[in-house]
Amino acid sequence: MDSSAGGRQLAPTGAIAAASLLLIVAIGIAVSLGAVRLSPDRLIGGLFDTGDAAARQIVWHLRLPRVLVAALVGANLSLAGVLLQGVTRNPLAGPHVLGLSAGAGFAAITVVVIAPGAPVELAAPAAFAGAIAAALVVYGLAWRGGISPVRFALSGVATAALFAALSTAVLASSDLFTQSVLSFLAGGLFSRDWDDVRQIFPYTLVIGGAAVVVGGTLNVLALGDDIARSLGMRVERTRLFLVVLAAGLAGSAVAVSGMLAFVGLVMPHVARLIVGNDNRVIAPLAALLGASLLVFADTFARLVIAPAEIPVGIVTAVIGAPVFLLLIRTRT
Amino acid sequence: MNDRWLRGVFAVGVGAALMFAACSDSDDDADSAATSQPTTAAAATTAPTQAPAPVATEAPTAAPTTAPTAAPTEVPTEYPLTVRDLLGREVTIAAAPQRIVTTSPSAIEMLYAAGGEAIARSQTSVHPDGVSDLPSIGPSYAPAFEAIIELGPDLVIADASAQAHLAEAFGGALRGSAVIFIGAVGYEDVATSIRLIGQVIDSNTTAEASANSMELALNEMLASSTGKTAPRVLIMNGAINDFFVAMPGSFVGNLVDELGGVNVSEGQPQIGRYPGYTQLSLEAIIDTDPQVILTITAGPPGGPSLADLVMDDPTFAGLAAVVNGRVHDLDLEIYLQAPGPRAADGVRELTTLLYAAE
Repeated sequence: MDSSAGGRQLAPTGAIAAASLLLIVAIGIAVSLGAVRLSPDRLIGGLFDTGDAAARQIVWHLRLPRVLVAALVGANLSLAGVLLQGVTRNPLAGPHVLGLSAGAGFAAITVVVIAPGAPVELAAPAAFAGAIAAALVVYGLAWRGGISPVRFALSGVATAALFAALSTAVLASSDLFTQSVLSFLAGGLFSRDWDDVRQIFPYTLVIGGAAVVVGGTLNVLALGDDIARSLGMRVERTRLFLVVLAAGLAGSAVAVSGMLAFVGLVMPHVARLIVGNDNRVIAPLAALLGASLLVFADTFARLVIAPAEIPVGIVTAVIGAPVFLLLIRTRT
Repeated sequence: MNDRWLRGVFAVGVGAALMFAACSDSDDDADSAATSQPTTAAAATTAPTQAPAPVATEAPTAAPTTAPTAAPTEVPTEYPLTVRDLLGREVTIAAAPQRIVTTSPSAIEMLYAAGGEAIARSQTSVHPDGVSDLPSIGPSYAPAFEAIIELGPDLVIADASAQAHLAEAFGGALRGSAVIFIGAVGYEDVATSIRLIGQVIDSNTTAEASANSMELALNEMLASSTGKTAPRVLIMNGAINDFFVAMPGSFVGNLVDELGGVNVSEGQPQIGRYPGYTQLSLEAIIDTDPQVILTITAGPPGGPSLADLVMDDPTFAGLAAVVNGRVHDLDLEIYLQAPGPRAADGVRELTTLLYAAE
């Protein structure tokens, strides 16, 4: 297994511990800051329900759930990126690039347009289904007696465009236009609450957990199909399974936060830069870093023009695009 | 910070929000449903569950032509009061509200018309005079709920047109504070909203006078245009190469409709995402040959008005409205962003624009 040979890389446990600490710090900062300046004792009071009702409401019912949603979305998108980059052996792969997010968004928008009164709990399963559908379309388009990573990536680009166009068509042909639909397009975390935490958390726990566990499988895939087969792996079946996992992660993220570009694409690279090529370490590290990034980005989005806010998708794009370019240049 | 920039964003963003958020819950028939829904919902304003009915809503519909002073003797509101707001939600007000936060330009204008005062406003609320100094709770399309909570309001007045999609978020974020949604998809909704606010804040006399004067303004204008021929009117909203046409189901369209103007988009299918607004092809516009074109300009303040652009555009050169110079730009706030008591000035202005040529 090609492990992290370079001496510049951190030890896996150290890196993961540091990233965990970073996430805790990020969450702490994010909960402390907002449109209203709260004194430390009111913050603590709000957190542990020992203070005034307003502080409780602000800290516990507004800030904390939103921060947790940001963390969970960041983790899910990053893990989806790790899986997809592993499956396609393509550093450009990500839930956004490969059309999974677009498929999820299309499904969620369609549900809202067809059944405006549908319960919000439907959004995540619908987006999951949409992401899987997109993944299958990508898979089908790329299939020619087997999957070549390059064809897979190119099919993904085409599928992303297709689903984006379908979403626009559904919107244009509908005379119903709701803010919830808008948020799928723009990507944002305005007014996310505990319901949204409950919506995405099971996906992070189960599928995210699975994604961390299958790191070794990704390592085998990275050796190439022939070697993987010679090691006894049923390559196509494995690949499909991993893609479905990625769809679940991307779909649940899109369901609560809309389209957030670059998180899923960039975080695996950042993790690789830190710990090398072992996917067993990259997966948890990317998840922690992605969670931290989105928590920081959303805090910035809430504060920069407070009491107004900007969509966090703008922040992730502004950070993600140059970082990605930088990574490409330094790594190749 | 940068007020101009924010206003520009507001013009595009919230203007759009106002247009689409007016959509009713379930109806496809945006034309009529958009206007009728809030009105009927509010007409159902219920009497307090406990107290004897202080309902000030009985008289005015019957006698809109009587002078404001002839309003019935108002019964003071008794609390706890349960009302049905413009989204059809039942809201109970425990005691006369003292700390009122408004979350949209319409809400604050209606509150002041009803005789109340706010302790906070939304970012772009600048009317009536003096409210610009109040603390801001952020833009109406994304209010900072924590800022509202920190102010400790006992009443939050939200906007049924611009913020209907946020109703759940308001409920979740502001538990403990009473939230009522007011708003106007049509002219008469303004009076309805003002009366509702007056009842909620126990300012029935002032609210009744304001609502009555609005109804009076419309009736005066209708009387002044009796016997005159209604012109064909095109109402454009947006930019010269990308605009929506206001149908009778929009607020500005309703004002023109109330005054008898013949909307050239009447009966057209509603296309696009904004209920009450549609897209007409240039060919269709030329075919209907509007006699009056009213425009609402989307864009940063200081740029050319849409009316000026229409006058200069060769595409529109042959239209009766252009030939006769009857292309007029309308105020963004009164007709689009802040439907409210200033609509009384609106119907006066529109009457001049529609009928003065006769």
